[in-house]
Amino acid sequence: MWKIFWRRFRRNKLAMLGALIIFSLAVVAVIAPLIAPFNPNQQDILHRLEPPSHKHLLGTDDLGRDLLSRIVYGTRVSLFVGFVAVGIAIMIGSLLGLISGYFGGRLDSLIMRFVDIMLCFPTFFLILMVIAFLEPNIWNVMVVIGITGWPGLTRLVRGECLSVREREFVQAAKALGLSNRRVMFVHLLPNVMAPILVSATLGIGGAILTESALSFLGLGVQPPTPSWGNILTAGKDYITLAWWLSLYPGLAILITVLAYNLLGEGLRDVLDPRMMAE
Amino acid sequence: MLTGLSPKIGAEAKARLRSLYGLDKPIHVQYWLWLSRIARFDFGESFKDGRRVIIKILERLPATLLLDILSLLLIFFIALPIGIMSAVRQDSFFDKGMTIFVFFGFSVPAFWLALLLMILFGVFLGWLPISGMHSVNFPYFSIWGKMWDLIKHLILPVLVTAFGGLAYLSRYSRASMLEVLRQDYIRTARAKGVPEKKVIYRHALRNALIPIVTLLGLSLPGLIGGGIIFETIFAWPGMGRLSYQAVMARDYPVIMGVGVIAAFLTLLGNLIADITYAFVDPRIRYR
Repeated sequence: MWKIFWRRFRRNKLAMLGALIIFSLAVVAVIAPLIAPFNPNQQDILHRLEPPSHKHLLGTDDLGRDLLSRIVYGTRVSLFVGFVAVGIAIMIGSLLGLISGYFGGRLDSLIMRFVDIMLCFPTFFLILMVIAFLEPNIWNVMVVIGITGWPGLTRLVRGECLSVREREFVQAAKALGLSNRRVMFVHLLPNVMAPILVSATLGIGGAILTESALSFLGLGVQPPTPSWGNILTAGKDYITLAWWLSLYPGLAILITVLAYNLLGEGLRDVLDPRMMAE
Repeated sequence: MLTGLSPKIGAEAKARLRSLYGLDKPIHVQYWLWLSRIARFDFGESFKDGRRVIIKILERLPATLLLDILSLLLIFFIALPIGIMSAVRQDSFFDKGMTIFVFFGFSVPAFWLALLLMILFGVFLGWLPISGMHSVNFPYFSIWGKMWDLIKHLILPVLVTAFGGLAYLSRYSRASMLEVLRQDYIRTARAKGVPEKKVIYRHALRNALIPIVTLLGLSLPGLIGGGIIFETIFAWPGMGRLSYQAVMARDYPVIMGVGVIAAFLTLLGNLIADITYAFVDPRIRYR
């Protein structure tokens, strides 16, 4: 079965491109010290706000730090935040969705009403409010993006569960007297894995966007740790003097998020059984 | 909260502050008091300037609504035709171009787009102002001058606010139109010789519009959330910027107040969505 998926996936050029970009970014993140031409926090006040040149390929920022090096190190932050935040959201979302869809009844309506309440608040606003009460740092950002990101997934997983629950193999598993937990995790979960995987991939892109927006506002990753979002803050402050500070970090975000979206949409096409016919 | 105060504070002053904010009561009583005040839209006073929160919000609300409504209109009048066109000419050159646009729309950080537009139109070309709602000499303009000034200040914020929704809605309307075009009644209409134009614009479009109309209300949370960033970037005097300033100043009454208002607007959006749904689809009747 996975072989079929792999064959179809390989034929999907855009999804392959996305996967390739993500892989390269992961490599960049891991070997950042080897690639970066300068120490990302090395200040050089005499050469501040220099436009791109041979020495500083993408120019320097307001403290004379090398922009390219900071963007390279920023890859670490973005990928890390994306993975952890989505990991949290996926765990909460799938668990609640499974419980809701499998047990149904009063528990189901309780969870679903809670989901409704969560969806009432504009997500970004909710994140901002929570960050305001906590301290803005990378850990809080990851956790908060994670615990506000699950309601949509819960609905999705619940919906899938409702239909899978009625299938014969689940009935058979129940008839054999397997425990609820076992039916849920061994028999239901693998069958709702496809939508979870797709929404996780797309979710990482979304989480990276949210993190960069928060860092841009000064409520995410705190300087001097370089993140694409907080480099852009300097870009805004020096908007009339240094266009390169605005252009390049955003380009990095765009490429990364685009890669995750391409991969996610590709996975959707590959994993969706309804697409088999077309 | 009081732990953050000066350690030299006297016991008496401490007790007075505690009773002022009701912190001496048990937590469930506190919550009930808070809830009953919220129901009357009484959010207390701002820590920063001591003005009532609801007044601070109400004076910012018009600017935000102006921005959001204009963006919604823009989204609808651009995204809808794009989505319909690319569904009608599925797999054409236009359709492929639109798919690429949508991918970028989902991936571009809108605040970055805002920065680029500011650099291009504000700094390099100098055509448009990059911040605020009015020019400094606004009061001295004639009435038309005022209008023109406001429009110039609106162009960039509206474009950026609409951008994310544009991609989303064009994709959604394309999908909706494709779904309708597959239906039997479309085939019937074609089979009995109805001209293709009429099939598309009379039979298909009306049905495709139904789910799209409801999106109008549902896209409100996204606009409000995005407003925080865009209003901050463009120094737009709206609710989003107010909430950003409140967060930075840890002005809790204002933060909570804006949160409640935002949730209220979202619910209002959902309600409008439901009502329009019943309005445009005669098959749905609420009893």
